Amino acid sequence: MQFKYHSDHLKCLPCPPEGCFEPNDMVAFRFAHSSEEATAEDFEPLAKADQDRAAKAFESRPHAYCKMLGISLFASEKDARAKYRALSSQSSRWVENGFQGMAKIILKDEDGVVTNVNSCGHFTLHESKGCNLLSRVVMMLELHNA
Amino acid sequence: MLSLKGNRVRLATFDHKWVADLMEFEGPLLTLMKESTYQDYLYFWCDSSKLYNRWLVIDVTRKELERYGAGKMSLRAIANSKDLLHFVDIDEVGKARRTWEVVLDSVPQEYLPRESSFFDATLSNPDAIDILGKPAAFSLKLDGKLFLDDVHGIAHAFDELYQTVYAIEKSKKRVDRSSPELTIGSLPWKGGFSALHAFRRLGGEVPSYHEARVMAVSYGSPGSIQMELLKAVATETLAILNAIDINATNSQALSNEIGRFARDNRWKDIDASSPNLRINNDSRKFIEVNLNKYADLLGLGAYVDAIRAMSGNDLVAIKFLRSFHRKAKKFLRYRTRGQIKL
Repeated sequence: MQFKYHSDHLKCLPCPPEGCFEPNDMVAFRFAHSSEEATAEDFEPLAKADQDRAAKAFESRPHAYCKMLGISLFASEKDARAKYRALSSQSSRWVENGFQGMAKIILKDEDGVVTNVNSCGHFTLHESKGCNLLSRVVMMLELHNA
Repeated sequence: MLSLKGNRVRLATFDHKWVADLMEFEGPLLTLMKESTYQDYLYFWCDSSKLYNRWLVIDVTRKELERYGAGKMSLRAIANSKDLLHFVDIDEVGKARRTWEVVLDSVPQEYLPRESSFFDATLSNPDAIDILGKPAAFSLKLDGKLFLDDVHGIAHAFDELYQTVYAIEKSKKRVDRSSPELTIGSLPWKGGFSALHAFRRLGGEVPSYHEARVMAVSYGSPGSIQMELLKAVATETLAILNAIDINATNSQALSNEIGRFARDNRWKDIDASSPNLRINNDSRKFIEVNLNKYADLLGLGAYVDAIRAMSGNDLVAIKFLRSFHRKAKKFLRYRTRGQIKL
């Protein structure tokens, strides 16, 4: 499989990490800036969207950099809301100003490979070349008041 | 970003080194940093612009970190206990560019952690749990006749070994979680390279919170240096030193053999940090045969994968083992002279 950020992966091998697998119609949730409609911006990995943090993580920390080239997702709506609450309880700046909604998506095998879901329901997708997550959105949900 | 009402501070004040990310979501949100004067800082992400990320910087004491890790004190409570708070804007290459000191009452509320900002394991980086492990009392036993220089030598040698074992343990845990990081692998390890740089880098892995702090020194027969540190690591350090002592003859013979082979094959000319590292077949085979064997003799058999991971390749790993061996022997000389008991 060819990956969208192949040249960046070469800087932080092994990336994607060992143990990843193709998501077979896997349901996933991701925070979005609006509850009405998702945009391509909602599906940018942090290393591409925020060069500062990428640079900070890159030096001698290939695993952290690899993670930032992936897309953060949750396995269930409940897990995503729990994470949102946890982040909100720390700082008003961490999520509330940025995220109003949540996109429900269904991942196909050709979208890339995913890490195992951790105990908090979080996992990371490493996108294949040509993957367009915006086209995988099946539903938008309100984040704040649910 | 919001404007800050405070005094600008000299950038040199912010020569802090990264230790660990304690909380993260798509990147670090709360990071533990340290400076060379044994002071820890918590960097709390609070804003960003196209040019900068802004972090609230809170200096923290051991007690505060201990209470924070135990869920007994929130970040907000720690921040509230300071008269002055600092902010730093960090640019796209990770450099501090603008810094301020602001009195607590003038800090924008949006930039402060919430009242409910207790340590939350669900947001934590796996490193965080270990980083917040509570330090405990530990004694290094002294004996015999000691000069002031000996006390300094013993303390310094033990401190370096403790820090190194701490970093190796940390690397092992990262390997166990399939998230290894290079620590010393990006160093050149060639020509006149001094392993001192590698040990400094490993020392940087230890937060001030876990540095060996002297609580008391008693001099008698026996005497002791009583410290507060991460006890499990200190105990493991002594176990490794005991193994090296027991295997002294064999480990020295192997070290000499490795040294001879390195000279004959001009290892000092190889840039071991290169991602395209090329070594001849003889060297590869030699390392393959001897790396595990040497690690076993040094009591580091359980850490071979961790050492490989932090080294980036086996050439650096075996060079690192020789450097560690030299450090250990320096410490063990005090035992031979009857000045310490393990």
